[in-house]
Amino acid sequence: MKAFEEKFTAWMDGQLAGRELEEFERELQRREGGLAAAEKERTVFKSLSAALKRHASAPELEFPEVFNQQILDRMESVRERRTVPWRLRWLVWAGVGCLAVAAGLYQTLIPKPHPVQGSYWAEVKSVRVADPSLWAEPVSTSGEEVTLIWIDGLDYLPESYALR
Amino acid sequence: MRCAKQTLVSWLLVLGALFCAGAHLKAEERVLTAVLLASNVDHPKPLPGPLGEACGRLQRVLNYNQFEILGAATQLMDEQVENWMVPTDHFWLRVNARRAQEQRYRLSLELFHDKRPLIETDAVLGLGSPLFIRGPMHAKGQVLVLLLVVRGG
Repeated sequence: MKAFEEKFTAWMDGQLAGRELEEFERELQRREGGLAAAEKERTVFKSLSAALKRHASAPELEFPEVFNQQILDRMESVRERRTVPWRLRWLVWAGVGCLAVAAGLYQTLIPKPHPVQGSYWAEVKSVRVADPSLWAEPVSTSGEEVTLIWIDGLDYLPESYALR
Repeated sequence: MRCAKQTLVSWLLVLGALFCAGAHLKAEERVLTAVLLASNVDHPKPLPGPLGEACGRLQRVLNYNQFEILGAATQLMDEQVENWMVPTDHFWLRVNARRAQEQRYRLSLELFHDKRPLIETDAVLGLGSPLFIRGPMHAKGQVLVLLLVVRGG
């Protein structure tokens, strides 16, 4: 289809010749309206083109550089409108940054529960009493996972003794 | 564009510092000691948290239904020095704790009651595994000293 349009434009401009011209005009003949309609369209196009060349001359610009700059500025503004505004980009980056800081602060400052971790292990290697009147012995109950150093010989503390 | 890159690098640095700080805090191990009064009461109040779980085990061994905290102290684990821990005015501990292996800690400690040394002991404790010391009997109940290594703040 594009090849036809290209050839049609060339035919309108009178740039087809020889075998190529004959083949294209046969193709025009097969189409709706035929070659006659295409010839009529070419005649109108040529008269219009000639009339434009005669009467529609470009106006003289007093400051062509300013005009060019205005055109370039408009093109630039259209291009900027199509790209993401810098404020929106900063907003996105600020959002990402805030999320990252929030995640970091959560990891750092929010206390997590510290359950009793791992398997139970309590082994008393040695116990020495400082006073010969005392007696101390480690006691372990594997079923309840409790290890206790049992000290005997300590004085009874009366109610009047403030523990705190 | 260059400014945006610099900003991104700054954010990453801040974030990295925060995560490093968090990891450091999380890795800190502390020795916790508490002086408890074990007794039998009509309406026992359970202890919350890891202390409650540790005392729950002891409850089944010693047949006391309430454990009251008379005082507690925590100390950051420092392998270089001995630390004095004073959970109450009457009971003090001199503790040196160091890592024995993964999640195991060797504690050398001396327990004092009113300036009187009672015992010296060496023990290896797992992370979160309690060691109890049965202290003197008081008119209101049994005095116990609890030692525990915990991780974190």
